[in-house]
Amino acid sequence: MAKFHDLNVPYTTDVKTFKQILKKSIELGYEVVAVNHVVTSLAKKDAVKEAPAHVPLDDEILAPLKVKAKTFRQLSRLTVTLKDTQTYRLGSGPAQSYDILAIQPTSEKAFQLACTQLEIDIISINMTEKLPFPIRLPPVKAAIERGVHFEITYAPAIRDTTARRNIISNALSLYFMCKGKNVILSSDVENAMEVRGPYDVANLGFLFGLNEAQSKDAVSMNCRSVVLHAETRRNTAKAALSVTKVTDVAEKHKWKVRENRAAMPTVGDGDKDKSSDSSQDDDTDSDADDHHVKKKKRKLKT
Amino acid sequence: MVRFKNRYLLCELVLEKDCLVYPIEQKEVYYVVRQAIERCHGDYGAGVTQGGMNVKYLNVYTKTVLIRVRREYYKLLWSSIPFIKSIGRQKLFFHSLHIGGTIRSCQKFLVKYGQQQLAVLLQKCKTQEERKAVQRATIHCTWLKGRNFENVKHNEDDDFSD
Repeated sequence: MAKFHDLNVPYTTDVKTFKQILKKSIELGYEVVAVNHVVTSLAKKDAVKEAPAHVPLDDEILAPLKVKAKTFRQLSRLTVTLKDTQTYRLGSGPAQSYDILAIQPTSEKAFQLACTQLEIDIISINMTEKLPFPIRLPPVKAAIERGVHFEITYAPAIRDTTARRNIISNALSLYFMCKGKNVILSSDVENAMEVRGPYDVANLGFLFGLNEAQSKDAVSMNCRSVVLHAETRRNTAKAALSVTKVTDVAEKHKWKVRENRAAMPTVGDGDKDKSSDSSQDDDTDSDADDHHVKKKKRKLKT
Repeated sequence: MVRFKNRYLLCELVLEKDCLVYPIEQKEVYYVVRQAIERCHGDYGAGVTQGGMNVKYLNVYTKTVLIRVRREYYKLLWSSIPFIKSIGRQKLFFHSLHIGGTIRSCQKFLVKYGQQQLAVLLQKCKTQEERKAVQRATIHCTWLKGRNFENVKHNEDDDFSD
């Protein structure tokens, strides 16, 4: 069973409201939530700030998931409203510290660029108003091939009737181009009473043209694809190699760290299956004094 | 044999401020749901649900609602439910738990769901008395059907906490 994700919970400085939103999301069954920071223009130098730390949640809020032995994951997401094609700030620096990158194109050129070239995970078109540009098939097809997903948010539909009509109409025009592939549904809530359970959200897909399987995927599998796409974009070199700090290595992978191996019983030649595909000429173990970097090989997905 | 096939949608009303009892009547829920379907699916939705929709069960303590709808049109109902924001002055929303073909399947689900909620409640208990009360309730509802639990002695010194 795939986890339910909500990849658009807007960031507020009001911690109390924010915690209430997260509490409701957990009660309703969401396991992965991405906190969204919106940046309206890339013009200024300090337009994009470093991703802030995750909000700590106490045990009482996490109780519904603890009971089912599930964990809650908070990700950080950056949404940039793109009008023209100046995107140099996206490539490096603070923008890359966010887990997920999203673009909200407001012109046809920006949409074309986002679909075909930019290294992003989500294209989020503002559907509450009349679309500023027509959605055409070639860029949508290119985006689907690259693994970029399109986002439809449902909270504006709950708030306002005109927004509801616009969202349905724009979502349908997106559906006609993408045939329901690579669509994710997310919330964009302002307060805790606008969150809806994952099955309810999946049924909103029926209004947006998606069939039953596609709408369920839109809340679970497609969101998981987005998260994996983001991880591949960030942590791996050419999608084959990834680097993890020794301290961050998960429990089940701890045997791979050379320092731990002395304490563990020998399992044979553990190194061999790592060096089969990628080259291991530069050993990055001796990089810095205070932190070790360990190569963790990821198998190429066929 | 021609039989009307239905879908029973089990929902939980999630209030803004949780209270022990939410005094509401079945017909209020019915009107609110009907209104939401009308707004979302227009006259067609209203017509379709006029004959086939019914609020079968409402529990004001657990705030559980069971709505019946004809099988062919359950999507119309389910897709309009998220748009309900309030009933009267009380802000709330519907959280759909389960959709089943019969009332019995919904009841079976409700039993399991209730047990899960008790487990969650146990996590949130702050005093030892609350914890014992929840544990007692959990044990009572996990007794198998037909078992005579009046003969079983409850030992007050039993500590179930770990």
